[in-house]
Amino acid sequence: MKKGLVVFFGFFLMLQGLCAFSSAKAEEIQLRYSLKDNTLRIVLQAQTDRYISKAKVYSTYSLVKVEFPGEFTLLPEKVNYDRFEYNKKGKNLYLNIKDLRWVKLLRLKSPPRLVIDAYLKSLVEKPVKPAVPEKKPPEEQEKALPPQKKAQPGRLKIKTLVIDPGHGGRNLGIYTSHYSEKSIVLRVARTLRYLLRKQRRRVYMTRTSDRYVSIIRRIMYIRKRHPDLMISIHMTTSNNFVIYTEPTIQLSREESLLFRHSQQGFIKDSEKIARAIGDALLQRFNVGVLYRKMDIPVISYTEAPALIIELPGAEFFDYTRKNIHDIADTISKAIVSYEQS
Amino acid sequence: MSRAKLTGLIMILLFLLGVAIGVVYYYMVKEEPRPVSTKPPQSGIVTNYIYLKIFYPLGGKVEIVEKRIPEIMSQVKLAERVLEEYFKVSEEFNTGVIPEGVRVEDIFISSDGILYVDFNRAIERNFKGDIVDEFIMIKSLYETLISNLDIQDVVLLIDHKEAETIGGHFLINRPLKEYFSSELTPIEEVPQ
Repeated sequence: MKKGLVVFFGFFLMLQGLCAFSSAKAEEIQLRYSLKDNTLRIVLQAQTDRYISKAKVYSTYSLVKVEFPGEFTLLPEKVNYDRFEYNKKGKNLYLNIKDLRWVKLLRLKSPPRLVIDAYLKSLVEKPVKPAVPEKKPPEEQEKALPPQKKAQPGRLKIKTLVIDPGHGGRNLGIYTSHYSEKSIVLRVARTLRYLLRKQRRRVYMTRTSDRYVSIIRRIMYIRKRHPDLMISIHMTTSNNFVIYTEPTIQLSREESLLFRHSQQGFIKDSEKIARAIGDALLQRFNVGVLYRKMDIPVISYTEAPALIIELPGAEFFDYTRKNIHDIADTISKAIVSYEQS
Repeated sequence: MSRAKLTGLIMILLFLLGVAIGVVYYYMVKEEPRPVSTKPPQSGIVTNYIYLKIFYPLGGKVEIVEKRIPEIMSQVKLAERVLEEYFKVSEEFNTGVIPEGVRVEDIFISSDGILYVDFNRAIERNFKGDIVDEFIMIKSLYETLISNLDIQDVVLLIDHKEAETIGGHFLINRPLKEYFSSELTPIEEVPQ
């Protein structure tokens, strides 16, 4: 009996020794970087997935701070680039990137690594060109517009809106163990609906709960409601707001009749509303606002001014009740200011 | 020596044995990850070398890299090899947009030149990107396939079925050319 007890304790201590040895070994974090076309890619590779999945990343101006869950040893690659410096302090790694405009974050497995894409100034300061640079004669442009509705010049009254909170149900969108895109965008959309209804507008939502709605069903729902404005809400992996509108596409008369190109007649109004909302978000939160033109189905099929707002990634923005209310409030006030402009 | 002392001695010895096993485990026994075989599939008639154009996403854009491989005559086998190289390049450049655990289940080329690529569910389930990530993932895949194969268009299937979307932003239930042959327009930023 005593012998058995001794053997049991022996094994217990053996395991303890094993654990003590493994935990005493500090995590090694490899730092690599590469620069291409004004995108600085910084790769932080760890040995265990926990160090990557639990690492918190903060970004302000030219500084990116990475907070690891424990002590680590940094194995850096020699930095030969004068716009990038790094400093290790305790559990934190500070990356100082000159002329930083915005960052994008990726967490990868096998091997576990954190990829930080830092976009530098000169990349994003290029002037915006229209998607199709060639210009048709005015008569042809006139023909190319969808015949159903044409963009109204001047003031546009927005009485009916459709809000489209992205993802839902089994489609989580961007997610980590702490948050999911589908929940955050739904909370913003619900708050926005409440505020817009207070302004005596008719507001519909493509989903009001956590359920999966296909893109086609969303498009059909939006078209049926004949809105004056459609706002789709998503989230980005970067630290900015991104607003998408439809690019101008040269179409033949036949093509312009397709549902697929319904948005073509509303691009100018969509851009004006996008600008009003973007300016308001910038003023309110002092977070960068990027504008992008892309052919995205939920916009291109909408026969009304339409835009997608991507909220900053939850890694960079604190989605407290107050901030969610502020985002919705800013958007609703921007719509009012657009109408009054 | 008393029994208590003996027991204590055994316990110390066992503890030291534990530490020793730990050392052996970490420095000798622990297996290094084995490199993935890069050998091309042993099929098709190899007569020469060809260069594949592999497109990969970098910083919101699609970049290109060339890879030299032995010539493969069968278009299906070549498609398999092109996809293998595409995944390898994506990993090599840490693009991060290809979801974890994605596998190609099947490849088929129809008589009208449409390439059907059937992925497992991981491509949809494990996708964690935003609009641009989804666009550049599908675009780089489309450009890679269309540039290296004698095909007209590409259709993506998930788990042997037609799927509506991968990440909830773009439609893939139709050939990809319509949405993914266009270029991304540059970003305009409002200064802070």
